[in-house]
Amino acid sequence: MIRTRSLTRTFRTDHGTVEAVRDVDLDVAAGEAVALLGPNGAGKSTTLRMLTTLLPPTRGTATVAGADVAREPVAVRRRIGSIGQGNGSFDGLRVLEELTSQARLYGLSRRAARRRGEELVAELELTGLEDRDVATLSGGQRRRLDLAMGLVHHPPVVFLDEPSSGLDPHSRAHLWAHVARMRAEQGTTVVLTTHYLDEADAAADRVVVVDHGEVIADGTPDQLKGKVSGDLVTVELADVADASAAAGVAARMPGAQDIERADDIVRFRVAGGDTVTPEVVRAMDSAGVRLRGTRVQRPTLDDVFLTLTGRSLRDAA
Amino acid sequence: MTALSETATLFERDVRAKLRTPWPYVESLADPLLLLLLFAPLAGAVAAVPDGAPGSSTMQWFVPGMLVIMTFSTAAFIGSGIQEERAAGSLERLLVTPTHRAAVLLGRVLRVVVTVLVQAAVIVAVTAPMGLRVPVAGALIAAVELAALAAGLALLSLAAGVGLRNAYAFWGVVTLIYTPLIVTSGALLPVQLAPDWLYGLSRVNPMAHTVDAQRALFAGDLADPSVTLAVLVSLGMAALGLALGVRAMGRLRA
Repeated sequence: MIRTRSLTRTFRTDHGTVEAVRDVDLDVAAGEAVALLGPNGAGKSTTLRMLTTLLPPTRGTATVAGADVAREPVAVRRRIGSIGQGNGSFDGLRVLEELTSQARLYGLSRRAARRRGEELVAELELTGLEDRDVATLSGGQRRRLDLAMGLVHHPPVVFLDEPSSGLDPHSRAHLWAHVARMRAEQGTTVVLTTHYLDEADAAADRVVVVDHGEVIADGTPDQLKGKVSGDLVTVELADVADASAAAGVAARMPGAQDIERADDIVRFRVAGGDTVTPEVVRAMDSAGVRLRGTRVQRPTLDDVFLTLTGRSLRDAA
Repeated sequence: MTALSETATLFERDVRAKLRTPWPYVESLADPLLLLLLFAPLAGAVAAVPDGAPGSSTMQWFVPGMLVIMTFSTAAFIGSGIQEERAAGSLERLLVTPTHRAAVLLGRVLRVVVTVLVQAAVIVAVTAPMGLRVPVAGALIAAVELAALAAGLALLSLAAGVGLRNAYAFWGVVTLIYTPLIVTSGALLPVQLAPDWLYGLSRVNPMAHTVDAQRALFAGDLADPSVTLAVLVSLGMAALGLALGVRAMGRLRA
């Protein structure tokens, strides 16, 4: 459904030429959902802008839904839905008006456009908001309207650029439920960008990690998390003086690695952190180390990124 | 879908949005009327107006200039609107549809043209009882010329709105050109009385030609060379604005 070869985009800036996207080869099968992950400025959005015909590639090729983005941009636009980072609706217009004018731009008659708008209002749970000024919608409602506008023409491919940024967890879950339903009912191909690994995990079959404009990893969420050796176990000590004893205990746990000490905190990585924690507590206890608490974290995007690049995702941004 | 029906759809969208916030139009209508009420008598009193006969002739000289100033204030700033839509993300949403790039601009231009014509009709209706003579053929051609000027200014403004990176750049450019354009247009004081270099400058101001043409048309002088020149200049601006605007839309960065 999507195929890029050596897709490259450079920008001229005051400081010289910047390669925002470098030789990206990406293949997305029909019906697949792929998440592009990476820090700000990694080239995720620029890649999406090329795939959605907003920006011509500097070099390389991209075919989306059977059409070349550079040579047949209008054909691509007919076949894709694209939900950008901003709000697709504009203040001063009303929910059903925006949906209707969007549908008219795909060639629907006035009446058909209105019917399609009403259909989408119902599908995306915007009922009762048809005549509301879009400026008065909540963040979640406005994002669902964006999704609705991207879907007016039943596109086989949908692009979502950081669709959940700025949403509260409830609205975020709600949005992803709609995306999942769309995939289940229509077999839609989805390409999305996100900062959150949990979202990529839930919404995507495959994750492509991008850094400095290049693809640095490509696999299922589980494959990627497998690149990080184990869960992060954090032990908080009641007494700072116990720190070196606690680190010693941690070092003797089977499979423990990357042991770190910071004041009254000891951290290490170990496979199956949940089952290891009770043993850690017992071992600390018998070594006379008193604990304030323990915490186990599954590998996060930050960890995967750190493992792949040696940099933290937060520092890289 | 044709570019024409897309333009109609986007015109309708724009009108709906703007009709609910009519203050900008009230302002751009109030401004020329206030100038007429306050400035015209003053200028008439210092006999700055050529053929400085009292009464009707002041109106005859001032109203055409006011129509051009009003067209400017309605049309020249709409680039900031498309810039807001660009910043918000709704321009991008339109650009990923199969819509022609030109239609995205022309829908807005059409709204500005209609607005200008309504405003012009109001100003003429208000000033006719105050002594403005309105020859029918001249007034109709004058309306066409104002529409062309509105389209030219609006398209250049839209091109600047899409092409310039942010609101500071846009308003910076507008502020820079505002005073020279208004002064050399000859709408407020006769630029024919200006020193040669200033008069020369006014000849490269597209609005100055429309001011000359409006005065000729309201005087019933349809054969005045400014009548043809003004419309050609306006259409040239429109073509340039459309080309630059469409080009700028092809290279939008995030």
